Amino acid sequence: MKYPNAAPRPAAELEELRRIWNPPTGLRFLTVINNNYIGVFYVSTAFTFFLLAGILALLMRTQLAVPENTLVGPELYNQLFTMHGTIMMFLFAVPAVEAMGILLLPNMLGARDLPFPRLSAYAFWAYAVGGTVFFLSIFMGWAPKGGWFMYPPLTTERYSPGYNEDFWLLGIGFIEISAIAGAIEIIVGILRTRSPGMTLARMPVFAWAMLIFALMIVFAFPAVIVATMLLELERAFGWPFFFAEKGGDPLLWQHLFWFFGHPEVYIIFLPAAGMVSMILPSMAQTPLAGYRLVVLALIATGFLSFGLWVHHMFATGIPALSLSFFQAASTAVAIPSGIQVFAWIATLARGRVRIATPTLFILGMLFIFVLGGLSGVMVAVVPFDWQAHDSYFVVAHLHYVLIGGMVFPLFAAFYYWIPYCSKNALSERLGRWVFGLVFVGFNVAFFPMHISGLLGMPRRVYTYPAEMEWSLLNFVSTVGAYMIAAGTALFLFDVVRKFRMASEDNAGNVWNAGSLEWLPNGNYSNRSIPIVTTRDPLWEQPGIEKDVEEGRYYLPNAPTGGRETILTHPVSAEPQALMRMPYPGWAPLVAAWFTAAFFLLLTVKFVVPAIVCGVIAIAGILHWGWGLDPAPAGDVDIGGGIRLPTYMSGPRSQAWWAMVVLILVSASIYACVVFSYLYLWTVSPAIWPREAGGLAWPLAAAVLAAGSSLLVGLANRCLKSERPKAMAASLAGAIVLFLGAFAAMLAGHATLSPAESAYGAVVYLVLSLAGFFGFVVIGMALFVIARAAHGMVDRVRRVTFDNARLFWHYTVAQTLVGIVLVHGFPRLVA
Amino acid sequence: MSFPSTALFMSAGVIIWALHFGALYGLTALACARGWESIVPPFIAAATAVAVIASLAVIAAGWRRREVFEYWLAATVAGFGLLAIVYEAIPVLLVPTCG
Repeated sequence: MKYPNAAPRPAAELEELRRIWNPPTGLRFLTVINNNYIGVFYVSTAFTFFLLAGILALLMRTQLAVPENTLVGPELYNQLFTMHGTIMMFLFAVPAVEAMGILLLPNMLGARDLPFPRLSAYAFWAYAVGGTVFFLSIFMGWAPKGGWFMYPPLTTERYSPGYNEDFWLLGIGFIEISAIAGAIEIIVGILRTRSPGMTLARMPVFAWAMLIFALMIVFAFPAVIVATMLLELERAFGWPFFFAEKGGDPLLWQHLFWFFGHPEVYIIFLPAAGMVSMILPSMAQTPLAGYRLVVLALIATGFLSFGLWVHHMFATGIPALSLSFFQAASTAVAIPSGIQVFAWIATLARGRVRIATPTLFILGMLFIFVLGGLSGVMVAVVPFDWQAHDSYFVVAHLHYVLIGGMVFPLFAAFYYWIPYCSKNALSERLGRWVFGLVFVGFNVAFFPMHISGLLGMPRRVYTYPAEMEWSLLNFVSTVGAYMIAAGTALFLFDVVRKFRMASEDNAGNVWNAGSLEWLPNGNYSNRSIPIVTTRDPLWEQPGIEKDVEEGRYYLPNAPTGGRETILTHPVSAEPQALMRMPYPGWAPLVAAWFTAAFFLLLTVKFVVPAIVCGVIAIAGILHWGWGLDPAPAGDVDIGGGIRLPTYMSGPRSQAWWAMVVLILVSASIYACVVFSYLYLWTVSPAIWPREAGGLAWPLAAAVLAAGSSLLVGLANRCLKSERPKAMAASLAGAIVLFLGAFAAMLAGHATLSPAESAYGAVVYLVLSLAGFFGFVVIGMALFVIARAAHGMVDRVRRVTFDNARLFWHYTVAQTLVGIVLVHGFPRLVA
Repeated sequence: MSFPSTALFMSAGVIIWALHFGALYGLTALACARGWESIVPPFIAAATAVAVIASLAVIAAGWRRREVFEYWLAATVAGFGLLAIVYEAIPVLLVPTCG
């Protein structure tokens, strides 16, 4: 094979790479952004939340061990099950798989780091600080108690006064923002920073799974963000979205929540399945059977999971035919899951399987997840669901799916990948005990719940009378729960004993795996970035480890003298540019801490301190953004005669991609708002206005908004012709026009009150979103003007401008849709 | 092929499924809320016919060059979408609309 850099490399290069990529020391170590450090912090924090939520579960199981127990009263019990579910879903499961992506993806793809390392750091810190404070609320008696799904009307101000539910709505609402930040990072990383030659057909299955996972977050999380926003607006300001007497509908919450909540199950499961598809081939020493079919299954599951949400609402009185659509979709989704299970079994069958701890956990997963899938097909059948609904049968089913589908693969992943980021592997002998305790304990704890559920035991009860004959089953379940706890404690003991974070001297490729993350690596990831010609490069490209380490492939050095990685084409993975990457800094941390503080202070209605924190967070973000978009540094040589530009703008730049994903998130949010509007009209047509109002204000608003977009377009022309001052003036004009458009929108609804009816509330919601997005794009435009005044924006160096321009046009399009909706739709149906 | 067209082609099958599913669900909900029960079965028949034809077109376009991974994926994803479309439309023959 012809190497891009065949000649021996100077020794000083490696030292330089080490120096550039070394994490900061002392107190500044907190600002570390390398994915291997942030990944480990992130995984450990998520696992800590798993332990904490597990302790809450033990408290519940102890309470339920015997009938009429008085250990935990109903008030605390409600908080326990709400916190257990909420923490497991939002603070453990999603962050844990996202963290595994941040930890593994760059090395698996052959990149030096993910494209926005400071965004990962921001997401991590916002989550860690916010999640911890959220957990502490239980010690104040402030923990939410309306169930992890927070159904109104129980959770509205009238039936749940106090801060408890606000902690859920604001605390979890912003942790979703952190998940979305991580998703943007992962999408752009997978599509744009793969090794040269790693086409879509050669991408590791875990990368496929994470790509679909991140896209699902982009489309599913907005639904719960909108839901929490509506409920908080109802609680804080009395906008009656869910209040039936004023035309609202509590079922709107269920639709929005489960439109997020069901994909959420697959958001958790797909990355875990991706991990299994990476681990099994190593344990069986044979390539994954049916790679193409597994990718097909991942895509099919990802999409179909958005057509299942109503199966959580079979008992709510929805039309019979609608229930059938969802029953059909719910049973159909078993097919792609089945494809994956058969691919894993086939891989096991054709290889020589090494029975180590990761293998055991995967075998356990197959057993448990298949059982959970089968009871899933049972509850997908409407008449059966009506019997099992809200009983312990469902508790058993969901734990079989989630623990089988996510926790067992995660334990397998811990045992499998700890040698990748630690000096020592975990103990195999203890690993078997851990597996035995967790596997047996799990089945002892959860299998009896199928029966107690069929015997009629409802979910979420803090106790039960002895004559119901549920006592023995519950006692057995409690014994099983303690066995799981013992297994987990043993695992923790082993981790404390053996895990030693390593960046350059890890335990190495102990499993003889075939994927790139097992190349020799350091803080700089791989010494040189390999050309990938196969799906399992370490197996099929002999000598690749040595060639990478000797720097024979691309980018064996740091040609710009800073952190950098190669940007490649999203389909063909041909090198396109050299991406210069940021160094650690305090700004993302400060921004994250104060973002968390802003939301948490708002929860307890400390409005002024919250605003102060919000301003500090925004200042942190501005400071952070100021250092981005560095001046072009010419073209550089990465080897093999390839010279790459160090500056890209337009659709080739990573920033453009991130902005497009952010626009997809925003559009999903807006689609949920439009859905809410149409849904409320379907339920309560009587509160929609009978007579259409005047058209003058909405027309003025539309013309002004469209005019602002034209001015931004004009600013673009000015920038192209090197007239930065004219560009700034056009942007300033656009700001004025947009403000005018917003004022005209408000004037068009001067006589409407948001608290009066669900109609008023949803119209004001559309207006509020126009205002919020306007606030953001005006901020972006002012930022561009400020940079232009410092000579930091010009014809070439224009990424900041392009981002503002893209988002501006999107905001105007969204605002126009809103104007047409709130003024056109009532005319249409009047 | 550029990335946007590759991505759209590979997911065309499930996008068709999503549009079909959304149309069925949305119309049934509205029709039952307003008492327009009778329009549902013909609408479902028409929507399903359109979705089936569109899916078959994607399958044909992908299968012609199935040796290329992206084309194979487009065809099989659309095949799966077609299965789901037909499966989800069958209940209209068996279940009362608003019941």
